[in-house]
Amino acid sequence: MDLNFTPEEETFRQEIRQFIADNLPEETRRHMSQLRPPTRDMVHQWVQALASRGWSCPRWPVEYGGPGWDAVRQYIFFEEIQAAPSPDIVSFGTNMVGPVIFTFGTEAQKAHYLPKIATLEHWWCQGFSEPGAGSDLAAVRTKAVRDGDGWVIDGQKTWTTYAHRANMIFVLARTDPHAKKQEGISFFLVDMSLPGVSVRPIQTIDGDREINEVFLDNVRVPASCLVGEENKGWDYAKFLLGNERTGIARVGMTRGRLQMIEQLAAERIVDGRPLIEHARFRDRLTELQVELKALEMTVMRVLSAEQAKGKPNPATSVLKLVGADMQQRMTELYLQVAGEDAVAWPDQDGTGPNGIMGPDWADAAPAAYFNMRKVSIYGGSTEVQKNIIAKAILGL
Amino acid sequence: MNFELSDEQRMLKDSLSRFLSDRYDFKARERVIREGGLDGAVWRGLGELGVFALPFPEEDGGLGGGPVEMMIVAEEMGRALVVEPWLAAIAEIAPLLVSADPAIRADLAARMADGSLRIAFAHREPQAEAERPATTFADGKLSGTKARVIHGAMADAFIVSASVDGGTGLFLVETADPGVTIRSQPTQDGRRMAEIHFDGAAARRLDQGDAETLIANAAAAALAATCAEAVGAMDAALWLTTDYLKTREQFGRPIGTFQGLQHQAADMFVALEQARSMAMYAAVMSERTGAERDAALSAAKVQINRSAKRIGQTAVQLHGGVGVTMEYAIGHYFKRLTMIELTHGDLDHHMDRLARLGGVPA
Repeated sequence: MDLNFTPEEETFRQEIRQFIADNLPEETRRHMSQLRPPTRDMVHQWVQALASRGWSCPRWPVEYGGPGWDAVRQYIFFEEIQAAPSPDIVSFGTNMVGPVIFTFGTEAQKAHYLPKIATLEHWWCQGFSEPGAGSDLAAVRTKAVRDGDGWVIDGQKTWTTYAHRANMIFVLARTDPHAKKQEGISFFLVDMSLPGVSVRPIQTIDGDREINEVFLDNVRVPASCLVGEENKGWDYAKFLLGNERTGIARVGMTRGRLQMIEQLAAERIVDGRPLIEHARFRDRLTELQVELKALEMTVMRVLSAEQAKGKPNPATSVLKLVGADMQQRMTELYLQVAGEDAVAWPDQDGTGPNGIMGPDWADAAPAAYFNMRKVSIYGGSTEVQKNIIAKAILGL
Repeated sequence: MNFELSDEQRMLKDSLSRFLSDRYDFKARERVIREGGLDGAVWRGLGELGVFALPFPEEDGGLGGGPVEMMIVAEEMGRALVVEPWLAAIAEIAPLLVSADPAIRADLAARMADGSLRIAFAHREPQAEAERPATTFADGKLSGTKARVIHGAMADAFIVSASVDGGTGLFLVETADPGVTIRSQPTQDGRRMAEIHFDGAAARRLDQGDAETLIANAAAAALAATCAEAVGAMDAALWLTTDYLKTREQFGRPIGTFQGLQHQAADMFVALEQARSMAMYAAVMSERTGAERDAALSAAKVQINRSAKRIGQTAVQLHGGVGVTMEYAIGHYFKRLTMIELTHGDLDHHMDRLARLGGVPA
């Protein structure tokens, strides 16, 4: 047993850090470190910088334009860019639909789509959830009907993150209404500029508008938009959802922000002394640090087992569930540091973060707190993860 | 980075696990406790498996095992709820002997390795620990009172911490010495512990003026092993509970089909995996030194204590009535886990120490 990374892996980490130092604008770093959602321009600049180095699709093999990193290097890369902190790469393209296309797609699909994901020419969003299909995803009702040599897709998607920035959406649609729930679903790649596609933003309790409803109103798409076989879409969706494993814990993100919060708490005077010196606050911070270290070790154990045995580990559910809890508790501390300054709600007419009183991060703290409630809901809610653990691991 | 066990380590784990599942089921353990807390045949068997020789260096006739081997043994001991004092008589003792005179050390190690000598560490005192022990050594004689000495009444000799020349020293005292009086009592978790009174007992110094370092090293080794032992006990408690959930029927179906219970069992699994991660972390970090080691071990114990409480309490709850009886194994796991929470530093102690040392090492 050896918890150390190899010298080569440490060199790799330094290389990533140097790249971040050279390419991540200070304004972006500061914005992200306050846990604000990145602007479109920030994401664009960062993905271009990564793409110019060949790193914008870190999980892809070399033959499809990726760097061909092993699982440990991928882990180190995500740790470092999350801790930096940089904007997230647009995972709907790179981590989700990209691997589906290069695993199940045709040669023509690979040639057409993959290079555009790497440069963000195609900004992808995920058309999975529907008003009646959340945790019970196989209940999707959006339907696709053959029409000549193409398909007509009709239905409604929701909770679609960044649909307002995206120009492409991958869609689960029912192609056989008579088949069993999971068996009549297909997987489509849809250009959002097609007639019939419309997007309505949904404002969330943090004040942001990052999620949307997407309406597909008899959208006609060519046959080449179907991935793999008709009615096998559920298999591809499961592949996609199981694809991102160790990254979902987001340990680097939480650790980086906890350090920031610790610093803010040292500067913040509460009842005459720095907040960090208040035993109750200190205890909460320490507890979180301990559990985060345990989570980091658990992530590395899953990685190590995958490297050794080459198979995915059902303990991945632990990573998602605990990772979500860590992120949420981190934002609780952030909120506490902001204290009464968090009460202000920024003007919704876009006067910006500095339009309020208090330190320049004070409005970001409640926003982050409210925003992060989503992490135990999306990507398989905490309750769904517990169902998986109970059934797949404990045999209940 | 690699969390996999080597072939030798896996063999150690498998052979010990097989031995204990053959020889140390719940009924066998009950008998051991009734008969005083130590089964001679089990003890010899553990010795034959090499478990006692593990922590000693090869030059002293040991197997030169490291903290990962100790972790493996401790986890299996925890899984079977072994009451025999492997941790207190061997794992915690080996680090205390490191600087002793080579001839004495080799002699003690050889006899401990084959199971013929058990030493207890008489360190804690009835009063909360002061800077130096109230027990004193002068002119070859040792006097004072030591408390909460696990397996004190089954030991052949003690290593005793005592004040000497303005510092602390470690001394070897034979239990047969006329100046030794032992008062023994049972513990919540099926062991025995003793209060020991030394009145001018003949004592031989073991350390070279480095007693405080040796004591800290022994505490670190014992803490890391205790974390692993707790993981073994938690693992067993979880699987006992899931077995129960699959067989116990109420409302016409196995209670494990109820989601409210499934989610509690899933929470136990999460707590177990987090604890297992930190027991591994503790094992590896126990070889470091100073504040880094201590902070890492405190972080580990904080996680272990939290997981132990969650798993122990939930296991009892999911067992319903039988969970609170002495007749069923799960209550004994809960009791052992609870005693682990209280010893080697409780939650508040380690939270304090972590804050003082600047938090979890990066």
